[in-house]
Amino acid sequence: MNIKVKSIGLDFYYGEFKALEDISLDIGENQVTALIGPSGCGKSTYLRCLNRMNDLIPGTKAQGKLLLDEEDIYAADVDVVTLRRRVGMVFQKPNPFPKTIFENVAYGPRVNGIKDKEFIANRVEESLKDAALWKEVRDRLHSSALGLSGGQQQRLCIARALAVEPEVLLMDEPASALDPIATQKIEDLIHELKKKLTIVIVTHSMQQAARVSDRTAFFYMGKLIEVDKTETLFTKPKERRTEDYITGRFG
Amino acid sequence: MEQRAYITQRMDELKKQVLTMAAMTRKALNDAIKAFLVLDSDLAESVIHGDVEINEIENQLDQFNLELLALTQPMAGDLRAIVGSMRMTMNMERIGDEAVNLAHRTVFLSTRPPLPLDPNMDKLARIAQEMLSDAIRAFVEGDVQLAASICVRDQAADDLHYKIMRKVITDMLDESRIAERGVHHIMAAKHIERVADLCTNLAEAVIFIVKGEEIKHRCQA
Ligand SMILES: Nc1ncnc2c1ncn2[C@@H]1O[C@H](COP(=O)(O)OP(=O)(O)O)[C@@H](O)[C@H]1O
Ligand SMILES: [Mg+2]
Repeated sequence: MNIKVKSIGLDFYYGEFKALEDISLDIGENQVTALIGPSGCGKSTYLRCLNRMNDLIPGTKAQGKLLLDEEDIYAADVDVVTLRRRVGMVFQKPNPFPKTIFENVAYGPRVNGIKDKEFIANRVEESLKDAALWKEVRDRLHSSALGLSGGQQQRLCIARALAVEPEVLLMDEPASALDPIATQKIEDLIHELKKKLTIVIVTHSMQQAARVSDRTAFFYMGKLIEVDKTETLFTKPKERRTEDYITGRFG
Repeated sequence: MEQRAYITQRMDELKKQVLTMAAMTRKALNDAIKAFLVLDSDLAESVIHGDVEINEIENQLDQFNLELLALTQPMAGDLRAIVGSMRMTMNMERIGDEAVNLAHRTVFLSTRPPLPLDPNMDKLARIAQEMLSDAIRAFVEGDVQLAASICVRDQAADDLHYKIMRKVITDMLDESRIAERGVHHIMAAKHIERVADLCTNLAEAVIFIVKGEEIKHRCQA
């Protein structure tokens, strides 16, 4: 496994509150890593460390090391805009801009200063294809994104994230607001996307983690309890707390 | 009912049903062996007729396991218990079949003048019976050590089976009139030896349930 993201003894604080403690975790390149654990255990917090989204929350602080391609994400000279271009994010609730489908996807490249119309149109098409949405929207690129179904909106948000060609994609419960068929489309998409990039997904569904991920990390009360190949973690966990959680004995 | 309580209750029920089937299987084997050793054809007949019940409970357990898999989407220890139980029921059903095979030999042999058994037959039978009882006990207690010891004993069963076969063949060469009965003795020894093999599968299933280790066909804990 090639390591794309590496955390070493990462602590994270909201003010005085230590939300993450001593997280050491390797995230493999072109792999899907799932983060599971009871709510409030720090999954989203960890995810937001990976592109420094937490910086937007006042009074927060990270300690320890977090490396992207062996470079410290939290180093003083890191350009956060560049970091967030390399490490994209998709949220639980689809949040398209109230604009056209085309403009939603073109947004990232435009913000990055690209003016070439043809280039942008190509990026939009590519991204929509990569997000498995192109066939459904090619005839209505210039109608409002808000007219799409929930599942389509989520794939649009994925296309929007893909448009700036990220190396890592963070997904925070991306299917929890979707019906089973839309969920399956997202999961199929994840299998395709990992050929091109590295994916870290937070999910509260263990079945989903089992279906989509190569490795699964179990978080509990701000700590990483266990990480292993997904097939091993769900059949033969080493830690009692993991066993108890995945068999539904708590949480 | 709360989901975990429900799963726990179903898992307990599963264990109970596996044990019910185990008790039936053990009775079939013990009766078949007893009938064979003393040429009791009535007892042998009862083993043959009783087999439908073992087949029936195997079907019930298959259905039960299938429903557990579909409805509770088990993980980790629960998942292994279900998969391991499926392996156990499959192997117990086969032990039941071997008991029936042995009973058929008895029914046949009871129609002929008695031919003395090789004393090793008794030993082989005892080993197979103990292996089955211990496999069941290992399952109840989750005793990996005991399960591993069952696998080791399979070698003794194989050796005895071979010795019996050699002995009966030698006797048949000396005395061709006993050939028909001799062949049935050889087949009987084979059925019992097969039970010992199936018991090692049970023991492997127990180790899988407890430790999650895939030791199929190696049988070392
Ligand atoms: N913006 C915030 N300010 C203060 N505390 C927060 C904030 N966000 C999350 N937390 C706390 O940090 C802990 C981890 O939260 P979170 O990472 O959202 O957990 P999860 O995603 O596993 O449900 C929780 O105790 C939560 O209350
Ligand atoms: Mg969260």
